[in-house]
Amino acid sequence: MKVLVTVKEVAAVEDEFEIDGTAIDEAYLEYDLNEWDDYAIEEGVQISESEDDVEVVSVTIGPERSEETIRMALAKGADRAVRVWDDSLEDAEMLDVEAKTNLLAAVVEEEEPDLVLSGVQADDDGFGATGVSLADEVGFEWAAVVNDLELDVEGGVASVRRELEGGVEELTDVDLPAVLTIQTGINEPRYASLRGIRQAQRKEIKPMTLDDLGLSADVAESDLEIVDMYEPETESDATLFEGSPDETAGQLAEVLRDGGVGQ
Amino acid sequence: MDFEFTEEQRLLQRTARDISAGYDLDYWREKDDESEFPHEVWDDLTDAGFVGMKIPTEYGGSGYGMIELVAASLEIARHGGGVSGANLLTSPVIGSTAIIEYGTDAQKERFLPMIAAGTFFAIGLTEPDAGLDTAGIKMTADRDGDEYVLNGTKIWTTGAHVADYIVTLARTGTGDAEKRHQGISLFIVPTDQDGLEVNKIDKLSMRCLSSFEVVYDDVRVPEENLIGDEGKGFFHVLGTLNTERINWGAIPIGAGELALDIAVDYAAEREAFERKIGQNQGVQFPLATSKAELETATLMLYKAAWLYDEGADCAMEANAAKLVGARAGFDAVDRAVQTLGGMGFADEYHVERLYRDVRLARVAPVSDELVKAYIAEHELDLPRSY
Ligand SMILES: Cc1cc2nc3c(=O)[nH]c(=O)nc-3n(C[C@H](O)[C@H](O)[C@H](O)COP(=O)(O)OP(=O)(O)OC[C@H]3O[C@@H](n4cnc5c(N)ncnc54)[C@H](O)[C@@H]3O)c2cc1C
Repeated sequence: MKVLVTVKEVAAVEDEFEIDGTAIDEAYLEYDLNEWDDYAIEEGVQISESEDDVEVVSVTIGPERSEETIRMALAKGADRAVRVWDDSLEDAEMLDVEAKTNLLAAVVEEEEPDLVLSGVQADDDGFGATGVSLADEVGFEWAAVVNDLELDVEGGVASVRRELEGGVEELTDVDLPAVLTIQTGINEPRYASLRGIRQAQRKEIKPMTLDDLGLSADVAESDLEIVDMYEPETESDATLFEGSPDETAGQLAEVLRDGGVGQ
Repeated sequence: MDFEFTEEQRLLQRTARDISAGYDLDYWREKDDESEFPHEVWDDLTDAGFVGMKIPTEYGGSGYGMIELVAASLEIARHGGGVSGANLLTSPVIGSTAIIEYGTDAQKERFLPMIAAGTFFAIGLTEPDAGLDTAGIKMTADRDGDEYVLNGTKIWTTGAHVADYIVTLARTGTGDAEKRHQGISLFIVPTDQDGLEVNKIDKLSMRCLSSFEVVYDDVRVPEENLIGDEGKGFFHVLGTLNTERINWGAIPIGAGELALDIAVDYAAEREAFERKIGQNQGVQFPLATSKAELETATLMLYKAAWLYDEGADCAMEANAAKLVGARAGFDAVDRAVQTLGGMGFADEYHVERLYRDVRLARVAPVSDELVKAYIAEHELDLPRSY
């Protein structure tokens, strides 16, 4: 069985930063593994530890800098990795969901995994759509926001628990091959070990260009355009009640009633 | 000259940072308040391979050197662990270095995997009447058949309450005044032996890593627990102390960086006289000075670590790194306290604890004065004064 885990290096900003046009000045950015992807890697590695003959392949789209992040996935137990990058992607202002879908779909075609695990969303641009869009593109079954997973490898079924709005959860069986988008909290991601870090030095990170994937440069073209970037004003609205407990309780009840909470 | 870390080293730093950042400053405050050993962090550091950092891989360790140990300690200290967090790596590195360098194959096979797996080996060198002057120890170890019988008192044995073994220095020879450095031997004493009594010492610094007076009353130790040659223990210990000094250069620097981070955040928020206090150069300059001093001390530290890993003589550099690291760290925490004003004294703001803790680096494991005395003698050819 082959599990493909998509990982992304995300940009985080320090407390103080400056926006330069429609982007944050590079000087204020720090890069790290996307939090959700950390859980996806852990889930993949746990599958490989509990089942026989499982290969965990990690894939990322990113420049050479992101090699360190994907190496961390290898240090945590992934067997090998693929890094997709191309000079023509370098110039793209943004890779939108469609672009990522096409790039990852080409990797899926090449690797033919039985299971694809992605994070629910990325910490930086937060589209929250790539995993599901990829499933659609490659014709896999899918389940989003998965917070529990039981795998029946022989039966080719993933029994998942999905987190829905308002604390509701759904139990579903998904036939493999499938894409699952992994929610934080599904497991407890391990720290890399120094042994794992050392072993990771010998694991393969295969670079793949658009050419290698049979794609052309227009894969990065996007209908989306970033027109503005700004920090939203933070607003707060506080009501202070004064008087005896009886009086303040009455005032609070009134506010709640007006707000449509109680009848 | 190449100052770049390798990708492997950067991943190691990241892992140390992740582990340390998993425990917030309140965790350490509570441990300090309760004098409670930080078992959770110890276990994480053990599982990830940091405790066995310098132990060869064939003995279950991670097989790295002092450069990586220093890199890890700096991250652990800076990202929350402070002095106590990074000091967790000290006794494993001293204990394992003594065994790696002077132990027999059988001792290596027996003890090194244990250390790597998180068994705590405390270090018992200091006695009530002999601290910096290690050769002044009085504890005796008398041979009786295939055992040694130890009598005497150690003080400041840190972690004796959680230790399975105490690496103990004792006199096996005559202790002739002419040859006071001879006749001393190094033992690994199991703490479950009869005759050991531990008494906690209430102290200023590192309260979560409790220190003890340990009284040895006819404690029997099998001869296979003698490390190295009988009578050469003092020199064996000297051979391991550079690792301790180098880590104790890293500890105050990392703690100083942590204090600086706290101070900078505070200076950026706190307003007085209708402006952020951080807008005043009077507040900025001390912090900027500390940043420069910490960075400079870090350079010395990596040089000492690099020399050590190359197998070169690093005594002067290890001592210098310890001296300037302790000073830079102490000044940084002091300036952080000043920046926080009254809040610098409130334990919930954490620099109070760092201030108490980092002070230790100027006295232990070797004091500022003794480092200077060493450099004066060995580098400047001035008369020996200790
Ligand atoms: C919190 C804590 C934890 C410790 N943990 C351990 C441990 O785990 N294991 C262990 O074995 N020990 C431990 N120690 C002991 C520590 O290593 C010693 O306290 C330290 O080496 C100083 O020794 P001393 O206290 O005997 O000072 P002394 O040697 O008595 O020195 C006292 C002062 O005199 C100065 N001085 C002495 N001689 C000279 C000279 N010739 N020239 C100039 N100045 C001089 C010193 O610099 C110092 O300022 C710990 C100590 C503390 C405080």
